Amino acid sequence: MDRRRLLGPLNTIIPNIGISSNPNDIKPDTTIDNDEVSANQIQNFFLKTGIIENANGSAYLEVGNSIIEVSVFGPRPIRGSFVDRASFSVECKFLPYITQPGEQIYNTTNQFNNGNSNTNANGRTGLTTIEQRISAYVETALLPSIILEKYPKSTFDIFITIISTEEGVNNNDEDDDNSAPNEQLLRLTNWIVNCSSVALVDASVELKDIVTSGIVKTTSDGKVIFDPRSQGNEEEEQEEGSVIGVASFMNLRNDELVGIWIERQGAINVGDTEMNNILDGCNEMSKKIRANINTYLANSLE
Amino acid sequence: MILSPAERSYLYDSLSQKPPIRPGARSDHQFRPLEAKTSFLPNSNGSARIRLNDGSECMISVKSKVVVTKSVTNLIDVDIDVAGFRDDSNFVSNLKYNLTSLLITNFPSQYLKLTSKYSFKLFIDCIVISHSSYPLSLISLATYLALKTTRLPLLVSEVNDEEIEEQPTFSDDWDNAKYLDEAFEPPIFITLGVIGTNLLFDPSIEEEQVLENGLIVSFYKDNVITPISNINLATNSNNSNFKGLNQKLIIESINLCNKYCPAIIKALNTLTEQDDEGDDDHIF
Repeated sequence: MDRRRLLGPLNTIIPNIGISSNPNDIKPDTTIDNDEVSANQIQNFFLKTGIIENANGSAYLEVGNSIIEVSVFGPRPIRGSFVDRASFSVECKFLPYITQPGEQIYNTTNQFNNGNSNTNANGRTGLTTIEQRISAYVETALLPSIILEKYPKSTFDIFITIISTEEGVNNNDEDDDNSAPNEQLLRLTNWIVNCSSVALVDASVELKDIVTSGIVKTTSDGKVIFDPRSQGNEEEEQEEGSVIGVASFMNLRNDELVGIWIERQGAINVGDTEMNNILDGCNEMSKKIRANINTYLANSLE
Repeated sequence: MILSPAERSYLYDSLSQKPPIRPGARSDHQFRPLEAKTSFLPNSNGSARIRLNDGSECMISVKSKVVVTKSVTNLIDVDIDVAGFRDDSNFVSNLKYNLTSLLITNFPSQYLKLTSKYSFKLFIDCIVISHSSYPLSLISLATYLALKTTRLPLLVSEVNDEEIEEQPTFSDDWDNAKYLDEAFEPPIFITLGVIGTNLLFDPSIEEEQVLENGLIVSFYKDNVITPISNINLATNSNNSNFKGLNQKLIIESINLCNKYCPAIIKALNTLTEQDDEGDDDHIF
């Protein structure tokens, strides 16, 4: 199959940045204790590419309790009239038994779906509102990175499957119901973007740069938390209010911002300082993840 | 495809000037003129209809229902219907997600509280009859007007039902119905187009075709709030200009919104006041 692949020169030097998990080691490290991780450290994650034979490229990512799998199909020819650029679509699905973050709010139930909020309002098994929102974010973030002009009359389809999520964060407290799911959703979206970028690389799609993203939370007392995780002591922070944001970057292209999604909980304004903290924090985290991904990709060539 | 390559290039160059030259001679922070009418649906608690001069039109109805507060997860339910789009399409789902998220995080739910057990639940139904540019800010401005003019029946029964069971009963006289709150200004969404280092408020469909990126910023109580996100405003088109943006522009967009959005709110408030005074029954 003509993949229109550009092969690099033979005498390339492989950069070795950061620490990556050994791609041959399939066992994830489950011994991390959240308390030991300092505020500026990113959660350990496990990444593997090329596990799906049928797809042109695929990636699998485990972080905390979340498991994400992404497969890329393309470039595939499309029928019909000529288009000079490839089209690009993203579809994100949760496995049916998984509780989607915020599904009680956004996936409204009615008589047609028998109270099952994982199917949408008309009872069809299409994407739910939450899945559509994630798909839209990933599509917006990855679209600028793909050189679609190189693939006329073709299409790229990315299929994201959420196999597992962090479960039931703060679901027992009524007051938090309105805001906490947002944070969970953003955390998940952050890793979905990272995983999808690697899948695109695995599919040998021509890219301007690898998109990586970061997530940062700032509290009203000015504290900046990198890669926030669900922790038991979160309640006190929620009373004060916090802003949480995901931002995706193309770090080798002048830190171009390709995706941004900011939510908050509690009464707090989004001023210049919060915004700068979030964007700079996300950028820094995105760079760290990028370094890890680079090393992983470099090692997997050996 | 709306624009030819030559038109596209001409428009792109004009919009990237400092200051930008926009079609229709708008300045960068200027909205397109709009017409609106409120409180015209007799069976709804609040309603609004908004029309732009390019033919875009959106109608909102707000209805209420008394619910047991504990039995529902949220007191606001939003439904959006866009002519020509399936309800489960990505386009409609995202509009719905954005509006729900904005209202749920920012709507002061104490306005809906009746007694310690009961609350009003608001059902906001939006119909976008026709649209050319991305309709989120149109929907959100119409929702502002509808919520601003929403009147809920006056509660005549006892407020304290902690010890004695009390079903809420309401005054029969519709003239006694109360606004949510006189000072209440619902949150709104503003769409901004990014082109070069310029930020354009309320981009029209032609402008959307050449934009480098789009931003959705929300505004409430004289401040920019969340959600803030970016989006490709030109739906179903292969906009070859679409690319990443400089993070400084995000900060700039917040400052611009803080500067100009109070004027939008003021204009909408004036509109509802004038609508109150005028006794003309015809819509448009």
